[in-house]
Amino acid sequence: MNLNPWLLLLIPLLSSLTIWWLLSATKSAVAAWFSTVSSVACLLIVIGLNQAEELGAYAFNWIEIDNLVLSIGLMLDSTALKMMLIVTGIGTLVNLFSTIYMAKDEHAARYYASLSLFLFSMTGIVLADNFIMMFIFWELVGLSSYLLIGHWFTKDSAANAAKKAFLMNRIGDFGFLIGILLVWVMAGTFHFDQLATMLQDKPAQIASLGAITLACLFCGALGKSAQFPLHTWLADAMEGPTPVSALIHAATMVAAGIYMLFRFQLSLGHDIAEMIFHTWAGTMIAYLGAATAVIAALCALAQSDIKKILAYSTLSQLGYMVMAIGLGFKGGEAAMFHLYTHAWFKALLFLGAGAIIYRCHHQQDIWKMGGLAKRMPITALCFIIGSAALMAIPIVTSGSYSKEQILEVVHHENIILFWVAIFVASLTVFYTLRLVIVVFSGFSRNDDSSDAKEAPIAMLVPLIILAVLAIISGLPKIAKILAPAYHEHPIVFNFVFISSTIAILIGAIAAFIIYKGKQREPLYLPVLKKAFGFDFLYEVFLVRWIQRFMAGLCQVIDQFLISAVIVNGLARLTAYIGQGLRQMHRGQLALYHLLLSAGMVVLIYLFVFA
Amino acid sequence: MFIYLIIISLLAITAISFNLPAKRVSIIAAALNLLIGIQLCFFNDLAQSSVELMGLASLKDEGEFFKMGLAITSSNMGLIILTLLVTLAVFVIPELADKDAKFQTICSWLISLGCLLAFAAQDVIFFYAFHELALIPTFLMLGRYGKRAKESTAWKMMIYLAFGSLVLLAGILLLVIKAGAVSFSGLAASVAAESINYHDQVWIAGLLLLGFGTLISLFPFHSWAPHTYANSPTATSMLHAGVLKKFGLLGLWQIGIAFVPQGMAYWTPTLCVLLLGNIIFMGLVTINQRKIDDMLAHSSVMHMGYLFLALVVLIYNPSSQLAYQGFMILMVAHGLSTALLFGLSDVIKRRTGTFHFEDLGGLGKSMPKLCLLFAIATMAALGLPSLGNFTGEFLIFFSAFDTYRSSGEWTMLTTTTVISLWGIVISATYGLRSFRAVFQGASNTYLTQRMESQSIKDIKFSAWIVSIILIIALFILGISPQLFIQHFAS
Repeated sequence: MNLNPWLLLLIPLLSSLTIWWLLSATKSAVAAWFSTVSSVACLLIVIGLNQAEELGAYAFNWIEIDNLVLSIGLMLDSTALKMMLIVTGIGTLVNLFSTIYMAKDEHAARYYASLSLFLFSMTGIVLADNFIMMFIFWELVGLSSYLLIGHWFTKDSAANAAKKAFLMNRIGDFGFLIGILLVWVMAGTFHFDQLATMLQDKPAQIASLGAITLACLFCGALGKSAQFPLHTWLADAMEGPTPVSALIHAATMVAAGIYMLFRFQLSLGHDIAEMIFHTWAGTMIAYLGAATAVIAALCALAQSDIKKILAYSTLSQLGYMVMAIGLGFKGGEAAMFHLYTHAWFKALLFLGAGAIIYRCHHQQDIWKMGGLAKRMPITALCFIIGSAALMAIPIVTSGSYSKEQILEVVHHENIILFWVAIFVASLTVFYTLRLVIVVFSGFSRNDDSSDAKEAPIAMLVPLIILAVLAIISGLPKIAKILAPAYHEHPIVFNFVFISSTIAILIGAIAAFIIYKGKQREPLYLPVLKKAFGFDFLYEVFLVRWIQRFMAGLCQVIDQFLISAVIVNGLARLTAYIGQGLRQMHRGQLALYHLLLSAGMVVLIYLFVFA
Repeated sequence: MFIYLIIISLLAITAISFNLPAKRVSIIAAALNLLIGIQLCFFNDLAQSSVELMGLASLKDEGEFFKMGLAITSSNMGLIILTLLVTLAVFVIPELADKDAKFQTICSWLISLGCLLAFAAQDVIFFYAFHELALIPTFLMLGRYGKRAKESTAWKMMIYLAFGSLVLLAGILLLVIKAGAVSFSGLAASVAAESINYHDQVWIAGLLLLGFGTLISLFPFHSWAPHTYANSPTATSMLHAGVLKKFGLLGLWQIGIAFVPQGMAYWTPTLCVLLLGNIIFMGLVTINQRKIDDMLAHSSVMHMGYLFLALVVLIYNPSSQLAYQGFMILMVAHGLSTALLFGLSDVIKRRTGTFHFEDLGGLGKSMPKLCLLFAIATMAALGLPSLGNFTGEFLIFFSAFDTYRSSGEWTMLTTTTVISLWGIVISATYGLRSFRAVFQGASNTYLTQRMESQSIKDIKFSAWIVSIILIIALFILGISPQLFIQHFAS
């Protein structure tokens, strides 16, 4: 029995609690280093575990009723451990980066406590050995994301964005929870390592429940990985501090949806996974992913906020992964590979953007920057390397290896989606080059960016490490060591490769022609800038009109029909009846006499004639 | 041992009526009670203490069947601990003006004592009567110290609940007559001999459902509840919404499902529709509220829906330990989180002078401790894992799907469960919305003006400590529910 893996959960949890309770009064630097050291400790443990040969971990019984045990246990297979490398690796770099970025923040202790809480919950998701545990940590990740987006909670926009992110995720979790319970109905277990055996001889169950279970589970990914139609929270989540965006809303948490689906595939085993994913549910997943990829890429090319551009590009890349995983087992492997390369280069891009924002007096509008290549050369170089990886420049960047693998799978499975993916690849190059050209070339357009200096060393170190990884992490030799569920896939100069290269060229040429040397936005694209009006649709139509109308209607029914008419009405009715009966007891002898005589007449009639 | 709880409560009441300092006496007595209660429930063999019947009355020579008494059993120990915890909180968290303290604390003690006795009752008569005992001080508190429209609200509640109680009494009497027993053990023996026919069962179950349902604010018999909770003095809202209401749920479980199971089964479809009324309909009404107290009052009605769902699962499958444990845990967790929220909202009102969302905002800055407590309580209420409410709700949903798995049929229960799962979105919506409105964002003009004239102080230390105790209990229920489950197991 090995208790070391539990330290991965304990260290960040204890660090979070310690910072929250003890260090909130001290200087933020203490909290910063405390948090950084704890994440380094986690990284070292993960590296150690990756080299260990035999792993056994203890499982706690969370609930034990009759013979049924719901446990909190760790699953330490190579996929999980390598995923942990990404989480703790980027976690450490982001912590380091934050020591500068958040140095002047009054409430930095709260920030680091939430960051540690995030590492704790994310570790829980990655190492979960069953769906219940995954769901528990899934929600806790949502909580830490809520806390971090709303870090500057006195700002209305940040508070709203935090609330929106939590609620959108809750909608997804509604489906996710049903999905988990359906897994129980279908297989009679929540444990990943028992799913395959339990389902082995139950083709009837798989046929009747497999697709709907998958669709419901996918709802969880829909929320957490911000897929269409629940995608709108991610752009707003950029209200959080930039290092948070790098860690949570680019590299790790938003990838949890893909990780969960892949974990499901993996535990079903190849054959059953193919059976379940090759249904309407799998197709739906693939198409929704593709839709997200297209919509987000289109939105990205009209944004002027540097973080929003990156946020939409994250959405678009996540859509790529979801599209791949919907197509089956091979797609799942490709998606995991892309998740891995994307994590490094997107974290790099966000941290680079953070460095730029930091040095430009918190200016985020790219049209107020410019010429930064000269003023911040190292940052610029790192950022451009990240951009190249995002554009998937063939052979030399990590992004190209993983993207190629996805395109191969999609080309093999579904030709429509393949052309969609090629289109998105072209768009990706277009909006990424736009960003690079506008920010780094030419002259500065605003005072905020004119006196920018090179970023401080504690920011540059993470950038350089990530830049190196953005180049080499795709190489088969490196990927074999670092990438989760890596399946070697050599690049072949075939049709897929050629068409994606042509797409990249088209995007690049277009971007150069349109944006080179421009002082202000040359294209007028209001629909894309407003992200197709989904926010308007949801916030005004669904929330303000439909929900408020329904709530108001219920309120009216409750207050007027149930409370006023029925309840008070019955009370009134009773009162009126009482008043009516009182009329007979007014002390008028004549009336009493009349009633008495009438009664006697009736009695005489009954006795004599009946 | 149970008698000590009663003696201490009575001593406290006596001491207060002799003008001893009400608050101090109450806190000491409540803390003492809590310690004894924990000792009784967790460190004692329950099987032994359940023999400890007081045997107050023996109407006939038939012994067992007519024995009346009190005991702590596995099915009421959770509620007894809940009562003791909330009783302590009631004397600490809301801030009382000294001139009202005597009357109010005595009333709170009486409500709490009524709850304890009713929960511990081992026969239907005590069970019924002690609940009525607790209603009288509720009425007095509301009528005398209510916030708005106190007299009309008090009468409305009283008449409504009297109606519910009378229907309930009819049901209980019918049961007693048909079964020929009043003690739970006697009734169980009689029911085991199948002495009540189906037709009678349906009638008894219907009366019980209507009676208990009114007391629990089952849709559409709920309209007394929001007004009562919003207008009562905080202590009463905490005790009534948090604790006393659970009486009806316990009753439906240990009288309804235990003694007239077939009758209850007859009413299941109706119950399924009505509980969705609680969760979805009342949930939407809750979203529409614009004040903290109204929001809390309505949400307390909404959450009853989950507990009814647990009862429906238990009707389908009385031996479902999952549903039973979820039911017990959620009752305790809901009581704790609701009482805490009501208590904390009282502090907000006293510091800012308002309950209106549009007047509040940004309080997290000036009251960080209160903000943290309120956030945890809200997160508990909206079912965040690691807090007790999630454990309860999850077990209930799980038990419903487990019933689906074992029967292999998609039933009305499954449909109801899927729809009621949407409640997790609804409760998150109103919970976060109120938290956003009160604690986050910029302070608005009302609050800024007020803060110019007087600074807004954070929650008092004593209230902070007691809130933390309740929160620890919620965390225990969430992280290590097994501690309770092994005691709840029947």
